[in-house]
Amino acid sequence: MTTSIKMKTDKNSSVKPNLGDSRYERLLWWAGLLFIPVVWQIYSLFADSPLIVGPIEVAVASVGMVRDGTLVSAAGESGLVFVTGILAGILLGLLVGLLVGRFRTVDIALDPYISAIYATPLVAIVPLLVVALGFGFTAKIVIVMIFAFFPVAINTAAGVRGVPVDLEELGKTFCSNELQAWRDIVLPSSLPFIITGMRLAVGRALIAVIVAEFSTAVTGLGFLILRNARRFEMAESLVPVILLMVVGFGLYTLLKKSEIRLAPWSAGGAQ
Amino acid sequence: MRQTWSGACQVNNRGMSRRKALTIRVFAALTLLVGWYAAAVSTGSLFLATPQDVIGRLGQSVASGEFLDYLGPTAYILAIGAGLGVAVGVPFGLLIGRVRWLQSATEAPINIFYTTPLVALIPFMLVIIGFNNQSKILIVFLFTVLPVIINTAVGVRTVDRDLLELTTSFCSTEAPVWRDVLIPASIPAVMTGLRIGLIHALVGAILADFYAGASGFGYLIILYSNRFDVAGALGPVLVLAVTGTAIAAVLKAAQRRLSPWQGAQI
Repeated sequence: MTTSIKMKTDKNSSVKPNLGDSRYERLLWWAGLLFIPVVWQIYSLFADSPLIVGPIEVAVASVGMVRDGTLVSAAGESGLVFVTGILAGILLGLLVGLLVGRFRTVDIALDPYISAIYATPLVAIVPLLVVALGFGFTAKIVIVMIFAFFPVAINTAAGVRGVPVDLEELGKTFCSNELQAWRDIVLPSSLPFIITGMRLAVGRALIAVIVAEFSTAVTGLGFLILRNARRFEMAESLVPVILLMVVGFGLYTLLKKSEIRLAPWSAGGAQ
Repeated sequence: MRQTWSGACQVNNRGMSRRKALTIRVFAALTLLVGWYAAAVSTGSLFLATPQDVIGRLGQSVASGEFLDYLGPTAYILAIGAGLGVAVGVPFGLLIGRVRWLQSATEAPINIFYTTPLVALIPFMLVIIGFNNQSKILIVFLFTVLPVIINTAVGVRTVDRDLLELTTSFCSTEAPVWRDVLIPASIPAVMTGLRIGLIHALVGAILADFYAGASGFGYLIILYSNRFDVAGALGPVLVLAVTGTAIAAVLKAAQRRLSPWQGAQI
């Protein structure tokens, strides 16, 4: 029923003939994906500057960097910071988000501050955190944790606040206790929001890892980018950037897919 | 803790009286201030400064003119970078929201760049363009334009299909469709895009100041931090927090005003 309606409107809204429509779109998608690397490669062939390197040089450089182990060890260091920091941020965000969403008093007390800090460019406190916590592992983890915390807390709170009142009343009517209400009503119905929060947290945590590595000491992909760019080894400096792009887009796609699977009615918006 | 189960009271702050809410807010603010003060005193000046020190140092740096000297360059790159980002992002977003094949062709690159930590490109841009205002403006532009494009396009794409069919039924030409249906209906999403875009622009400007040359507000924060002047560095951070919150609040209010039926999202 719904599909037939959708098909009808789609046909009306697009001018293209319906035969092979989705194949045509898939072709365009791939063309769009390949457009930038191809143009970049052609440009690099004609540009005189040795600083303009094309995708082929980057690919060659990446093979060398994988072989001598620099890329793998840098990715390992960044990965450790990323995973530890984001897990801490997500756990804390879930805890605060659930409390804020569930208890009106906590919501009224904390919500203005959480929204305000969410709108603050948090990068501004990075130099302060470095002064306070040093150049080591701790500072990096704390930076990533702070970046990941806010989207999770805000989206979780929104999800819990949005639990249908009817369902809550039903639970109450059937004398469910608080634990059962959480397990059977609150958590399932706020799950899509929590996943959205995690998707946003992944993006922000990746930024945080790079900012942390630019600002603190000598480890990870961020440092590799910085050092190679300063030596004018442009291909070697772009390899970690491309790796970050792949990881960022991969995680985003994965979480977006699970969002669509868990809540097909609400996914698809952008934030 | 939960106040009421009756649906009727749900509209009115879930049954909490305005006075009670105000009491909680005031109490929370006081607790926060006292907590900040206690934390600052107990951890020492290297970690956190007391509220009155921060305000005092902020007043000092405004009075000495230092504050404005560093604010100027950042405001300049923000105005141009974010202005360009919005000027390019909104029309482009409207276009790819409406034209199917353009949406398919741009979907992959836009999403990839949106999910990439753009900071990682900064050292690269600096080598190619140099430590100057051009690379700073480019950084701010890139941070702004992607969320604006994405949200505007979503706004156009989610316009009520029935309305669009109606315009086709009445043989409307393209221009009135834009004027009467597409643009009014996508305003809330454009506002969301502006809000996120401008907050990203602030982040971009601070990062540009950090890494792309010794000027601007971001550099002021680094300067004070490196002198272990925590109170001094927290002043600009506070100003940035107020700016970000104000941008979010103003655009949310505008969104509510322009499309009261939709309600602002998070």
